[in-house]
Amino acid sequence: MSADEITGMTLEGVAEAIRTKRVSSVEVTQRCLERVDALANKVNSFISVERDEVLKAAEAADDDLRRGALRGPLHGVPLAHKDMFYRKGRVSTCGSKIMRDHIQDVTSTALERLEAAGALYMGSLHMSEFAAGPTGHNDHYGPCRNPWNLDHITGGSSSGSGASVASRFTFGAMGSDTGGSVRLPAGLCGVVGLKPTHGRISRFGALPRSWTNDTMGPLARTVSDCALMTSLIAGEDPKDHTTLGTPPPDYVEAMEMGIRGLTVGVPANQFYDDVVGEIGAVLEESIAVLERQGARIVKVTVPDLRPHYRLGDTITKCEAATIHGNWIRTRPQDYGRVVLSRIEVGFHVPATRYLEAISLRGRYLAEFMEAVFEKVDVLHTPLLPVPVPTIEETGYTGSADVPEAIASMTKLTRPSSFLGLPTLSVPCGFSKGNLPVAFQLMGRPFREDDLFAAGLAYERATGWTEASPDL
Amino acid sequence: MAHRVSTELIDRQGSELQRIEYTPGRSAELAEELDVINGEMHKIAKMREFNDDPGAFDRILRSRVERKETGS
Repeated sequence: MSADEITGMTLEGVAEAIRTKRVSSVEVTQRCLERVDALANKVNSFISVERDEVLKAAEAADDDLRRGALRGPLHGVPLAHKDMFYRKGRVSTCGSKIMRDHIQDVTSTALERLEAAGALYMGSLHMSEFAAGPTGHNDHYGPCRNPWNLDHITGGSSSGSGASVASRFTFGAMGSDTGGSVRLPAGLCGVVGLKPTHGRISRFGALPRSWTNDTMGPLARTVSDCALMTSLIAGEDPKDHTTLGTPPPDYVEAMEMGIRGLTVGVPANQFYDDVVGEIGAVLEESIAVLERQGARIVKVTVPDLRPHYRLGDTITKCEAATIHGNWIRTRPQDYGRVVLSRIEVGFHVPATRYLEAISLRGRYLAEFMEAVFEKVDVLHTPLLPVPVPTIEETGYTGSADVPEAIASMTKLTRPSSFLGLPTLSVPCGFSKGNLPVAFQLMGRPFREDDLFAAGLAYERATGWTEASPDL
Repeated sequence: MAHRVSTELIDRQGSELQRIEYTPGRSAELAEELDVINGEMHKIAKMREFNDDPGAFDRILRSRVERKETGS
């Protein structure tokens, strides 16, 4: 098998190839490392590569397989993850200068579960500093670059995860999503990303940005791969009290239920207010594809999204200021300018305002459920209303309009974070500048299976997820 | 238009409550940002009722686990 054939496989495909001994874990790992060596600097998507450790682990995985000891569905598959999933005794930089040498004393539940499924740890991926930023800029590590066009952003904060999966450096990657940080880099880089329901996937051992809004989710090349990763990491965790006790379904099996009979809502208001023509045309076609695949399309009026944005943002700012308070007081010079500017106001929001936001979250969720999910199974929405911006357009220049432009990137992603609802980002074509376009599928609480079913039907009908950038 | 949240308030909160010092320009930016947040929050919070509590979110989220059948 050629190097391109190996690195071009899906997560499911490579796992199956290793399992059936068509290729060894060592060979897969070597090909991935060679590709990282040759191309990762162009996109700046890795913070560290654990070459010797992962090759040793691959040898051990091959030995196990020869003895007939299959560890799990991802036996011997090398993966890389956003550098904020802790591993005991190892550094997780969290994209920061502050944590550059800080050794963690726990391992994240998501990584433990992937390892238990047989996955190997190949390296740590670029991210926005402290997961605070939707573009992929980073003052300490430089910007991550979109593999479809290196002058453009990847989206953030799971920038390296989106770029590395799209670049075929890794078959899948973990990211985190507080206001769009899985969905944006997935969509902007042309891969699939899941923001799960609040409580579906453990957050234990991952950097907090906002205890209330944080979720952890996978990015992968296909809907099937994303469903596979979700199946392996979802479920109750005694170390994270927010996780749901009810066991999750097998998403790979459940998504085969298909889209026929599923009601897909299309917002009649707000979501499309800022969508430009070329993006709107791509989205419209994606809705037509879903309909042709058997979905019932229904226009639905959604509640006012502005309070969701404001309340969610207020909560995140207050919680982030609390999390970072000690370091902002003592080491403000070690924070990037934009990151600091996004957190500082949280020191001045009255506690009563924060609690007002927290205490209204249930009311807004109930309102949204009644207005939308009493009528439809899944809500189809835009992800980003404009073509992927350039690094320069979204960089910090000191001008007042850049923070505004950055904030507007999360206008369509923050509502489902505040509402705690599962949302899948699915690639659906390209803009005129040949940069990926994606839609979101939002679902009922803990109904990730509906999202995967709709996403899979779309993927099979279009093949957009097979496209890969020419680096 | 004068801000209801003043630069002086930010400076005093910063130094007296939070032990953080700002440059004059930064205090003004924060005053402007806080004024927007506080103003919008003030309007939104008028809908609160006595029984709105932080635990409602989890109760509602988890009560919706069951599939709601829709469509034809």
